[in-house]
Amino acid sequence: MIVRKRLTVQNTIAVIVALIFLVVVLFSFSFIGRRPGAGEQFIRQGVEDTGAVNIVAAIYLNYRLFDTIFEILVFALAVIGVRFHLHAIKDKRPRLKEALFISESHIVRVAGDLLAPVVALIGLFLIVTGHLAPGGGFSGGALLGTVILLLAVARGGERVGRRLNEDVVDRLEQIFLVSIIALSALSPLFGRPFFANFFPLGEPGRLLSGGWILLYNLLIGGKVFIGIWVMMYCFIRHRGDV
Amino acid sequence: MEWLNGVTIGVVLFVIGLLALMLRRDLIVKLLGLGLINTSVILCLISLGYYTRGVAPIITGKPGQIYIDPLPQALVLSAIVINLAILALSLVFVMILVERYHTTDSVKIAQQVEQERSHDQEHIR
Repeated sequence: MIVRKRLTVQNTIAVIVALIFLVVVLFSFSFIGRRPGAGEQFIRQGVEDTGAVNIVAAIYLNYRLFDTIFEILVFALAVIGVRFHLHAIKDKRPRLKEALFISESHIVRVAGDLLAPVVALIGLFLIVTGHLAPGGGFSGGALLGTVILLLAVARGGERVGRRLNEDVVDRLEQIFLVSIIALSALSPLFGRPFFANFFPLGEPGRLLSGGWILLYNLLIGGKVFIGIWVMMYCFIRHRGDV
Repeated sequence: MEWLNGVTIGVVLFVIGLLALMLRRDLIVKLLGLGLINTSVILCLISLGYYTRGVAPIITGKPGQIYIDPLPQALVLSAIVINLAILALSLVFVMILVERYHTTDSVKIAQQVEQERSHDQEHIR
């Protein structure tokens, strides 16, 4: 009974704090007018500086590459954490027998087979044209990871997971991660500061333009694709099926 | 209806997520609240960089176009990825807790931890 009473007092305080927060933040936001922001400079000089038509990609992979690299490290850390902790749980429980789970629904299986190549193609397109149009490494890589999940739903997670050799996948992920970091450290060899593009800029609007943004998009796409699949595969294996 | 824009909706969603984090006892619902908070922050930042009748910041060379601010969008990309990382990792931690205490109720888990601790102390004595 005492616990319940204390909880209601806490709840009341929580609601009051949240409402105060709501009023204060809304009030402070009402002072912000609409005026040209800090991004104006990037729009004026972005194409000239980086050779990429998509200014968001130019900021993300050229001006602010330093931030992006640590963001990729955070993602890699999450993948490592998920794998480590899920393996720790798994050792305590009786080993699941390798169930060959196949979807009972014929519709799901056929639709998965039909949709997977199309979605994979869209994912690759997003990665390759990240500097020309909306897209890029992260969104394309996430889409490619979803393709594998779609196949896992249709064909059974264990089956798809066995097809992708785990050692090869691990090694590929490490290679992607190391080359993403190493590429930025190569700049001084070409007479540029660290994290500065040393590839030729090319003609803006063409596929081969934007310096190393295309290469970075490919590397990040591969890294995110493998990372997402490794995380999902850990969850699938822990659960027994999809 | 000038006040009904992405910023105000984002703030309201943030408060809803905050209330879910503070009031609900279920850990999975708490994680959903965390995701809602992150999404609301993204909505808020994107709306701050939006101009009326602006187009996406992809330079096409057409004259007389207003491009919206690309800086918040580039920043928000990091936020999306880190949201994914946080949610995946905290989901694993919830799974560890469920494996051990067989409930997702945070108050019950806290009580069980308390009991275990007092039990251990009796053993030490």
